[in-house]
Amino acid sequence: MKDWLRVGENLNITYDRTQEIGASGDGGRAGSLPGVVRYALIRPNAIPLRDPATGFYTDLPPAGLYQSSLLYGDGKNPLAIADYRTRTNSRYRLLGNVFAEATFLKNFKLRTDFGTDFYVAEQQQYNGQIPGDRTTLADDVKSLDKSRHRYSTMNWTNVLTYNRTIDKHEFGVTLGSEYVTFKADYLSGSRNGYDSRADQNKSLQQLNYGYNQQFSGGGLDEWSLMSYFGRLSYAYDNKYLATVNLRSDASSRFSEQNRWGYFPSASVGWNIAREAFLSDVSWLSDLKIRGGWGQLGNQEIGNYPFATIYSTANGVLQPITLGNPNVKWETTSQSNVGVDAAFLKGALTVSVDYFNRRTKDILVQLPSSYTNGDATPPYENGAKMENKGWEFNLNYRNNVSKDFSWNVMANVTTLQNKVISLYKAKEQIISAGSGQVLLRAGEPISSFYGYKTDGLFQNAAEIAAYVNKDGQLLQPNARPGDIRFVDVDGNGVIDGGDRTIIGNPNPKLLYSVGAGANYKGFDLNLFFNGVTGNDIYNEVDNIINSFDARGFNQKEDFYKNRWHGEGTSNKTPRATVQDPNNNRRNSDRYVENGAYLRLKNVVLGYTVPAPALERIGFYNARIYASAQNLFTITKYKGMDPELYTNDNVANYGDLAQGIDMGTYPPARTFTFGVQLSF
Amino acid sequence: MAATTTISCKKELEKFPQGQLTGENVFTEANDFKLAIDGAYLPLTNRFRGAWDWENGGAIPREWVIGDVMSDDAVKGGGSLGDQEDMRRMETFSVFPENNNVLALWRYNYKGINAANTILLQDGANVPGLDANLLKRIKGEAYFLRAFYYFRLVVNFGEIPLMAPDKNLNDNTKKATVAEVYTLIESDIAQALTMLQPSYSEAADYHRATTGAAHALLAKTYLYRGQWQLCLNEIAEVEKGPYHLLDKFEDNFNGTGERAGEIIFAARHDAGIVPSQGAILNAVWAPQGKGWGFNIPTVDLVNEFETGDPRLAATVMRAGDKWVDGTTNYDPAWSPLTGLNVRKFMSNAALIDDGGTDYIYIRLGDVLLWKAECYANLDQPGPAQAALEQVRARARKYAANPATNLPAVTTNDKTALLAAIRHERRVELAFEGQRYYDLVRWGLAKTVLAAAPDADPLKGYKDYGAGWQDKNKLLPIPQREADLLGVAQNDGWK
Repeated sequence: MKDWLRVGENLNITYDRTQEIGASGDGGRAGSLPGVVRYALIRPNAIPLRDPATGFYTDLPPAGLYQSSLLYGDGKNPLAIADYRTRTNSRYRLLGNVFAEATFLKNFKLRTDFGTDFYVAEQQQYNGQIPGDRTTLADDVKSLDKSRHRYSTMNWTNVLTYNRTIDKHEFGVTLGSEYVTFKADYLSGSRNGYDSRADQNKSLQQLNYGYNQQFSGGGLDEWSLMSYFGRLSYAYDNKYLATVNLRSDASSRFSEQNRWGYFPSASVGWNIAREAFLSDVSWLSDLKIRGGWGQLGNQEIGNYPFATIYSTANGVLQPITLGNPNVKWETTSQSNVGVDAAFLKGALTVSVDYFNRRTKDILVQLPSSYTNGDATPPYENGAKMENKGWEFNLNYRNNVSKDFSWNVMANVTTLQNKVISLYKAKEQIISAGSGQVLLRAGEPISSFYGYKTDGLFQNAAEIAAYVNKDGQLLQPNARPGDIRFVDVDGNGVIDGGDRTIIGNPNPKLLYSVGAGANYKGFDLNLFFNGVTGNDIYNEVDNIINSFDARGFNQKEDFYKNRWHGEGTSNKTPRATVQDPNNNRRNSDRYVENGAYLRLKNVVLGYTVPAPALERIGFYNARIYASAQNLFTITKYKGMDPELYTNDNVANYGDLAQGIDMGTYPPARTFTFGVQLSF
Repeated sequence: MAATTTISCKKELEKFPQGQLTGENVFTEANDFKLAIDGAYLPLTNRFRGAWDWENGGAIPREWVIGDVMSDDAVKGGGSLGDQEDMRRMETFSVFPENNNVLALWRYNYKGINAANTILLQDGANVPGLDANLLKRIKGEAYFLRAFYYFRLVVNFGEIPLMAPDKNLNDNTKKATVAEVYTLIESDIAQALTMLQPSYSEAADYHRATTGAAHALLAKTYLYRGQWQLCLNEIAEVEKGPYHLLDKFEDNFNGTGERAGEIIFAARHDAGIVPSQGAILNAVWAPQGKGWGFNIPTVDLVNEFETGDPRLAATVMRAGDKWVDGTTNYDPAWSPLTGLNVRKFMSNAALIDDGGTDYIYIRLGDVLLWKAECYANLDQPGPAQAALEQVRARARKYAANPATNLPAVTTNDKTALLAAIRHERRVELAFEGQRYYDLVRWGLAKTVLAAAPDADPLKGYKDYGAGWQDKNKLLPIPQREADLLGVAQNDGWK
């Protein structure tokens, strides 16, 4: 436009549509779908998926098979839920931004940005009769739910910068403000009363077709954030660098007295490579020492954590969510020191960092006792936690010749996690299925909690010998082949007080390794990642690998390894439907090593030489094949050690990390492609 | 620009919940009070509990697991031996503090207490449109319900945290003694008695707590404490109320006698209302195929009935009976364990989990047997026989042969008389959630629910595991709650 003024805009419009199935959990949580993998694991595989006579999915065994109800369980048919318990999500999204930037008085710049993210999300779910399912739904109750929610985020940012260089001194000042406001407008409708035609015919799965009751719902959610920030920076000869930041944020999610949070940070750097005494050192192309300290705030706590909310649904008034007006910003303070170095004209770069992150006032909805009713517990600034470790990065590139080059990269992070203190200094135990995690000061967050086992009783004499100091049997209900539990607290009985920390879901080491090579037109890239030092609590094994009276699937593993006479096993207990010893209880029996190494991605490509292309009018062409998740090396016996989804526990899903309730594994994907430019 | 944003930002940062009641605006309309007191009744109904949250004691009410399944009247049933594993652990007395039925009992009774507390913390005096008499009744109901829930908790768990903020009881980390719990119950009932009415004429209100219900609840607490004369005093107050035995026993349980005069306090269920106010237990107790097939009557219970007793057909469904729809023949094959199904409270609802029959907590038939028991214990066989005879005479009228069936009990021997009363309670009150508690308070649980050499775990026949032990007098404090509150576990469960 003019020399001193720039304006610009960009606009993105997208549409996507997904079909969603249950990926984790048992579907018991409101609004969640039953986990397909979970039910594939626990359903006895002797029951056919389809009734051979009708071709329909079958839930109960078909006629003539396994008539005794003792021989089958009530696990859902995984294929049937994958086909019939799904929902369709569509999203229309508009992402736009306009800005204006003015330069004035030579060293000043003022930029204002106005952005919007607007989208409409639709969801449709039909709950019809699964053909062949044992649960027969009357037409009156078959239902269709549809929702169309509108979300908009607007942000307005203003930044004033001043930069000035005087000889070797570089100064910078930045001042800015940002305002973000979010609004979600919900609208949903549902109807019941669908006849059997609607089960078969997708075109009848619309609200209009239902004949029975209709329901509607709607609401509004809002939050906003107002921030001011400033930065001072100074550099001398690009050798000594220093920056100081201060930001203050005010969030609508906190009550007025706790609304503002102030988060300073500062960093310094010394670019040693630019010092005169290193100018002759040719093998060292770069060397920099960095140090910094800073604070950041977190306000991810739902929109109205200060308010107690009452529901009048179902004709009764009751509090459904408890508010906490005292809740305030969670703050993470991070200190780090690091060195960056480059060698061999930049072909080899190495960086090493030490970091210490302390998070205080962690925002968490701690489970609260039902003596306070069963409303959703309020957010608390519940814990203080420390994460510290080292991070190493290495990159090496070697251009061997014009036709051949290769490179490797590696990143290794060590992590030590510890809870420092807890709200009201109280330990918290959180359950996910039959698994439990513990928050205890001095221990890693979400440590697995349960009984400790000490082999199996091989014979009656061993049971009789397992007594407390008064000579009483510690496990009076045990029989040979049952698990010996450790009296950890030494009180002479096996009870809740004997539960202890039995595993740690936090990896001690996270790493990734990549390698690539180019030869003439060919390129090959590999990317591995992995973790080590963590445990997984195999919750689903509690169902399918601990033979009990429930008619669920059992793993061959149990059958082969179970105790069935003195000396046959010291790990897997006997098969007993009665289980008077409660062998099934939450114990280290289900804790497994969670380490893995996974080839996350491999790509092989070939770029067609340019002369060949020009003749047919293309500018560039590449053919490639890639594979994701090609192999995984792990000792973990469950489906997937990565456990990348967690829908286990409402409200504290992240705290129940590392508990595997039958998680949907990532797909192994093969892609073949051609990229053409013309 | 900076100035404008600063001025406006306070307003821009004030975002409050939309379309929902909050602590700021709740209890400012009369209707809130009405809906809140209905919320305080909710945990004693047999309605679905809103989510399939089995592990945390949600999904369905579980009181029947203790009252019926843990007794000799019923076995668990269900889809298979392991269907609801934790219920089988209750039945076989291999209860662990992690058992989700134990947690359910704790959770929902405290939920009721909290709902009552929410109301008792409101002043309500200046709420427009809230009639003073209505407010008084609502508060009276809240006191009654709190007493009701605390009684259930103290019977099941013994020492428990007392939460009654209006009486400055706020510390949930400390267990109150059993005596302290009863003190609160007595004072709550005393307050309720000054606020409740003897009956309610409106159809919408017939199920609400009355002065008669308060006297009867107090009487029951005395019965459970063995304070016979105090119990009789309260029963005398109940008898001044508008109660009489129905002509036909079965009308108490098939929906026809819900407002006819025998019921003193019941959980109300109405079928066909959206959202449902029906009993999900109607599905839980219906045979597999129609429902879930739990709470299966034992042959032992059927054998307890005297020849010709019409109460058997009203209690249990057997070969030759009609299903609740009145037309289909009941097929014993529907119930593979014993061939029997519960009849009491089952209703022919259009949706099986929307049962419309009220679930009785206290009725006159029960109270008369308390009366008999108190007099027998006070060595007054005459009035004990008279009360017992009222109950037997009603049954006898429709017996197969009234001239010979169910003869009057005439013994003056205390032991024999008490045995007759115990027998009568079993047949009169089966599947009303009483039997297990009766066995425990009579000191008979240990012998009746003993380990049996001929137990059949697959059918549940006499399957009491290692048998009832002294520690079973109380349930363990749910592990979740013991963990969160830091309260000591009950004796024997440590």
